[in-house]
This record gives sequence, structure tokens and C-alpha cells, in this order.
Amino acid sequence: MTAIQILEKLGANASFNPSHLNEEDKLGIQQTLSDTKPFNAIQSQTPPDEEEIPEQNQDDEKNDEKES
Amino acid sequence: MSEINKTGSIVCVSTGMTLGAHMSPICRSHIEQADVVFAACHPMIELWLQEMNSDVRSMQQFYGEGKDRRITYREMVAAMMSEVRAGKKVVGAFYGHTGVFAWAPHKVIEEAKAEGYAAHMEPGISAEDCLYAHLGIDPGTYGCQNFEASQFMFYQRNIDPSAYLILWQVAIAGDKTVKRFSTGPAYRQLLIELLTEHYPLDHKVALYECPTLAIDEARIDWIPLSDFTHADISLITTMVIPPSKKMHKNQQILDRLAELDKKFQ
Ligand SMILES: C[S@@+](CC[C@H](N)C(=O)[O-])C[C@H]1O[C@@H](n2cnc3c(N)ncnc32)[C@H](O)[C@@H]1O
Repeated sequence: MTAIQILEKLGANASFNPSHLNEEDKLGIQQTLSDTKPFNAIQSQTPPDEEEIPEQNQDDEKNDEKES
Repeated sequence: MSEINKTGSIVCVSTGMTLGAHMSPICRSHIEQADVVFAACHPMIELWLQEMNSDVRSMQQFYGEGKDRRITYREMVAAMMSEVRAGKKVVGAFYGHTGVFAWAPHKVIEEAKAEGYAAHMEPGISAEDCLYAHLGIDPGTYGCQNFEASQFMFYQRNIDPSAYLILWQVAIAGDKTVKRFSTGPAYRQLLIELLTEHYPLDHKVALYECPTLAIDEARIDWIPLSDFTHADISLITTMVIPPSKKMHKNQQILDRLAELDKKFQ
């Protein structure tokens, strides 16, 4: 079983207990976890006012000024 | 709304919060049968989705520190819509409940419907659902209010301190730039100031984080409101504020109900 399949089973099966994991499985999960990229959980935003959303990505100062 | 007569379609599905535990059978089925799955989930959940479908595309790439998040969300919608327009069966898989505090799923469904494509949302288990279980609170006991922390700061909201208050996205509370991945102590201090209109500084609030993996425990830290300034929080932290006041009887309505009872007994 892959690390993800083990985690799926842990999540879905009430009798599949984390303490039953062997060292190899634990290591596999740790390895998979450490290989993942950071997670941006933010998906909603209330803008401070009803202004237009800028057309494209602008990392410049100009946009900063407009927003604040 | 135009008639549904085109081949492309979009379903926004909910993955739930904990890998393996929360996804409904219908969400899983949509993922398995999709031509392409766009994912906005924890990377471990995205790996899980890859076991259900061979074309899973992460939307984490659209984020960037210093990039306006409204652009990020529009890029998500554009990516999903371009495949819908190409006639594909598209799934947008968003973590938790796909439609809770998430802009892109609602927007893509609205756009797809307006262009005549089949589009709908499948509900799921949100952070809010999990916190009721983990914190042992029932929103029906005193009522419950939910706000995005920044919105709570930007606009004058009438809150009821005799009900629960849940604040989402507290890590970026007060971010007017819509670009940051965190604000900081000075911004949190201002949020506390706003909250002290209704809650004493020593009022206990919970910092809650539901586990993504079943091997982890939920984080439930009860702290005095004043300690929030320097508390350890992240983009997944939700703040839960229990009532600070008792519910007050509405005597006028109670009297009128008594009159009605007499009449209709
Ligand atoms: C954009 S909202 C998405 C909510 C998600 N759609 C849901 O159904 O829960 C992001 C916010 O949800 C909350 N959240 C996300 N993951 C969480 C977790 N693991 N535990 C507790 N709250 C979480 C936090 O308040 C976070 O800032």
C-alpha cells in the first residue's frame, strides 16, 4: 500500500488504528508529507471596498497604493 | 439562464477536511468519472485525488505572495472554464465544503450556467462541521454567527454576543491589500480591540485546526482573547468565540404568544 492508501484507510476504517502502523509505513507517510509543497488554504476574500479587480497580476508598488 | 445544450460541464465537489474520512460517495464518483479534475486542497489530499483520476491539476500554482488573491481566484475560474468550453467533463475539487468561504466554486458555476453548460455543486464536510464535533458545541444552543475576519473588520457588523461567533481566515485578518499570506500582531490587536466591544479581554476563545490526516489530532487551544495578538496561528486556524452574555427574553413577543395560546388552545 502507498502512504496515501494507508492514510485513506486510516481515515475511512474505524478499526484501522494508527498504532498498528509499522515503522516502514510511518516513514513512508513522513516522506510523502515532507515532499509536499506548502498549502495556501485561503479561498475567499472580502475586498475593503467595491473597487474593480485589477486585470492581471501586478506585483508592483502601483497596485499596492491602489488597494490600500 | 440559457438552455443546457452544450457538452462541457462542471461539478464543484467537496473533499471534506480529513483524507479518507469525509468525502461523500457522489463526490468521489464525480472525481472518478471526470475528464479533468482541478484541485484546491491540501497537497496530501491532492495526492489522494490522483489515485481516483489520472488528470488532476493543482490550483496551488495560482497563489503567490504579493499577488492579488482576486486574480488568483479568477485564474482558477478561467482554468476550469476553458476546459468546460472545450467540451470536457470538469470537476473542481475544493477542500472542506466546496461552497463555504470559497469564491471560485460559486463563480465558476455561475459562469458555466450563464454560458449554457451543466453546472452544480456537491456539498461536504466543512471546518465548521468538524469544530462542532471536536469542540463539543452545538450551534443550536445559543445560535452561531460566521464571519470572515477581514470582512468583520472592514464593515460595521451587528453581532450578538449571546451567540457563538466563528471567525474564519484570522491569519490574514485586516489584509486590505488582498495579497498577504499573514498580517501580524498589530492587525490582530485591532481585531481584539473591535471584539472587546462585546467580549472582555480575559474571555476564553478557541483556536481550532481540524486534522488533514487521520494520524493527527485536532488543535483546540483555549486562550484569553488578549493572548491572540501573539498566538501561534496559520492559514488554517479558525477562531471560535463562545457567548459572553446571556440570552435576554423578548417579553413583548412572549406576552403576545401567550395571548395567541389563549385564543387557539
Ligand atoms: C477559504 S476558507 C475555506 C473553508 C473550507 N471551504 C471549509 O469548508 O471549511 C479558509 C478558512 O477555513 C478555515 N479552515 C481551513 N482549514 C481548516 C482546518 N484544517 N481547521 C480549521 N479551520 C480550517 C480557516 O478559518 C481558514 O482560514
